[in-house]
Amino acid sequence: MIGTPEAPLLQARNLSVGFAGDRGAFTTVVDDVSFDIAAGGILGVVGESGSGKSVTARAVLRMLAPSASVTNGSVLFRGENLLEVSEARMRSLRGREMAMVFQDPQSTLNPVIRIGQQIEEVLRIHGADRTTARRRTLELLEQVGIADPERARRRYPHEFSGGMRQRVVIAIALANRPSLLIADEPTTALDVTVQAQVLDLLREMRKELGIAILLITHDMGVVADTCDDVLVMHRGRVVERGPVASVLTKPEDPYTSRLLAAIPDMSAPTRGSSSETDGRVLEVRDLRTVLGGTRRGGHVAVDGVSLSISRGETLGLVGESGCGKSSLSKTLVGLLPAASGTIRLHGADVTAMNAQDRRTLSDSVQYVFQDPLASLNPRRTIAQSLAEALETSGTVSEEPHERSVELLQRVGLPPDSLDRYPYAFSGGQRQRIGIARALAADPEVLILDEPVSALDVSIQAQVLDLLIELQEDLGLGYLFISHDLSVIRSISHRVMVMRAGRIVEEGSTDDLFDDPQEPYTKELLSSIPRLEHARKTTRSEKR
Amino acid sequence: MTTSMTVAKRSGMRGSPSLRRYLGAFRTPKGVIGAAIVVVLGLAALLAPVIFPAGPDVQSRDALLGISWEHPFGTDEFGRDLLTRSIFGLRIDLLIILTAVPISMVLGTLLGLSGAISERLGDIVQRGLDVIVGFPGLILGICIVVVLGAGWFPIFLTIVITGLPSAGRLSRAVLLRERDREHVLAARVLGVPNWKILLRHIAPFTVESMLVNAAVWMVIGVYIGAGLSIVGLGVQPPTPSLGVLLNGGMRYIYQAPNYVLFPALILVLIAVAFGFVADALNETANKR
Repeated sequence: MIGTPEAPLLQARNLSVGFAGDRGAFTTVVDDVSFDIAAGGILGVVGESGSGKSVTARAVLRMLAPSASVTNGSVLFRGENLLEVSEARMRSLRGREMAMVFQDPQSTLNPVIRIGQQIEEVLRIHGADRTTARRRTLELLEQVGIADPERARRRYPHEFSGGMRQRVVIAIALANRPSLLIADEPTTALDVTVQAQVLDLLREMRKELGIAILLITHDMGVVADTCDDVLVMHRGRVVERGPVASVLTKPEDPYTSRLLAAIPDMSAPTRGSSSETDGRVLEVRDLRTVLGGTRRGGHVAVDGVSLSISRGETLGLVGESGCGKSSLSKTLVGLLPAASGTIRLHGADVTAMNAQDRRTLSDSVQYVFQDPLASLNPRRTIAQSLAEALETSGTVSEEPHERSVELLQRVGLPPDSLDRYPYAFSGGQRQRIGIARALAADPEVLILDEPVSALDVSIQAQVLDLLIELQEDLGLGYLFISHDLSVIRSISHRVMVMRAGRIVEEGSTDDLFDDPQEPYTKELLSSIPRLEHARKTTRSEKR
Repeated sequence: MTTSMTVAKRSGMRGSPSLRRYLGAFRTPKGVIGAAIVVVLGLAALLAPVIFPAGPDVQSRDALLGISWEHPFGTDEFGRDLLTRSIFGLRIDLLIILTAVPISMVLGTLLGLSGAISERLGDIVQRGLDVIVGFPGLILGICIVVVLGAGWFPIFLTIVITGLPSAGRLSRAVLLRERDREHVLAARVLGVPNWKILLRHIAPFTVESMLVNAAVWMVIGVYIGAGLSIVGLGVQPPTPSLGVLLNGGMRYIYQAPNYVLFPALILVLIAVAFGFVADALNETANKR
């Protein structure tokens, strides 16, 4: 595509894949997709969930589900049509010539087999003897950046962190020196700092070993950071293709532009500081939460956190997985007991969370969960779920139906949604319902626990807009929890950075993002894959 | 897009509360056969007084007859028609299990959910249920008969008690699973009272497993009822039950094998029918 003289390593032509459904129905999920990967090139395939990007990758490896079939096209790997070779030939190609890295390293590795053995197994399947396999295993572990390979070899997957596990998975993929690596959302399950390390590793592998990589992702930032070429997929079709730099700077398809526009821009102006800072609603002092019982030996998840939230203000709380941000928010609403410290609501101490405290609290503080499908009872209609919230809050007794319709309209859903069940809605709509339910009690503060993390990026932007609009109209205070720095930046007035149960840095959004003080904050900020990277490189290349 | 839609539909089916889904079980071959047998036997039992207006106790001189047009199942030692007695016996057996099993399932479910009130209460209840598991059904039945005397009530009570542990454990499993699900947490944050959370957000999830369990216990109930009656500790003659008929027939097994054969066949037929229904419900409930 970008004028490599020799034939590309992998050439997919007019690939179409469909799924057989019930009663002879057939749905085409990949429609006429063509692409090339040159040896040593990195091709990013980007699209939202259901765009057919994973199915495309699996079709290349001939690892489709039994109900799926390739209806058209060819996949040439070094001139050999993979769709026509025998299964035996395919098996020897997989693992030796082509390897795959999946999203979740936790479920890719066998939990009861030592790391070293899992790598050796792949080597021995493809014909290495015991001593060679052992030696190569150590070599690989070192190559993927695992310190002390001799010790790591004897450990089990659970003894490793998520990022280390993904390194092991990559080591397994690289074991037989493949010339093509297919990575399906390899960093989606990882924290941003770890993501940066894994992406670095992939780039390094390409440089050192000259392997080609097909990188599937939903994240334009990852593409900008890592790939040479990009393929944008939408509903099974390729809507745009080309070198990353030109696609990102001059997108031609409206869908690509929409995807790009939906990414919170790290250079866009922030919301500044809140206009209202008078009415402090929630005040927390030196809060500690201990998980695993209050007795000794528990894990201190929240360690002396203080914060306050006023009406009309968004406090962003950012941190990586396991930093204690969810434990903090759950303690604030009484889902977890506080070990020490105080939670005050309009000055009244509600730390004890007795029945009276809970009632006062649920009147003014409400919670929006990360996964809207899980947080709505699947057996109850939206009307029933909203009625329950209204009834419990005691705000409405005579006209619950009208009030429910009003709530739905507030979050931009039609009134006929009421009689449907949660499964009938899309992710974004469900999150709107989650927000509507939280609004039923007429609260002053909403605790938003990763409210957009489960959503596609274009839907994320819509939900964030809704939240900002609601805040401006109703003067709500938000505690907005996220691992995603760009989301935090776009909605917060103030930001707190949490690590290992403690707040390591706190400040206004502008100060914190422009001039971080703590090394950890700096590391977090530098790990974000940014679109600007690609834009800058194009500009400098052109000059 | 299309794949995500089908996924949504499928997972929606799982959560949908509609009865239609369970009725779907009765469209599978096993479900059809099982339900048909249950319905035919049930109707016969229900309409027994209409079909046989003379009742099961009419004696005649023709004792221990074989199969004939007049007496399709033959007659017993007092010349009573065995078809009539079998159907009236079935009536009593079905009446006992169809009341005892649902009561047992409901009580067991409540016991299992008691853990929602306090952790300790839940633990104590489970240990209590463990004790029941320690007694085989028939031994427990004999103990109850020793205390209460023979009759239909001890059978009823035995079925209720032996069914408790399975229902109690299943519902506890549901409680432990659902309790930490986000929709329950969401209700707690809203401030919904605990009893309402239990009733609305946890208890409905026991229905699927309990339906299957109930069908399984129908089969076990049939055997417990018949078992106690066969050894003479259940329903007392002259009132017929399938077990009573087997008890009587065993003495004449060489002269009139049909005496034992037909009541035994009916017994097997009910057990197989409920077994089929249980299978069909289970397969439907666990279909993804």
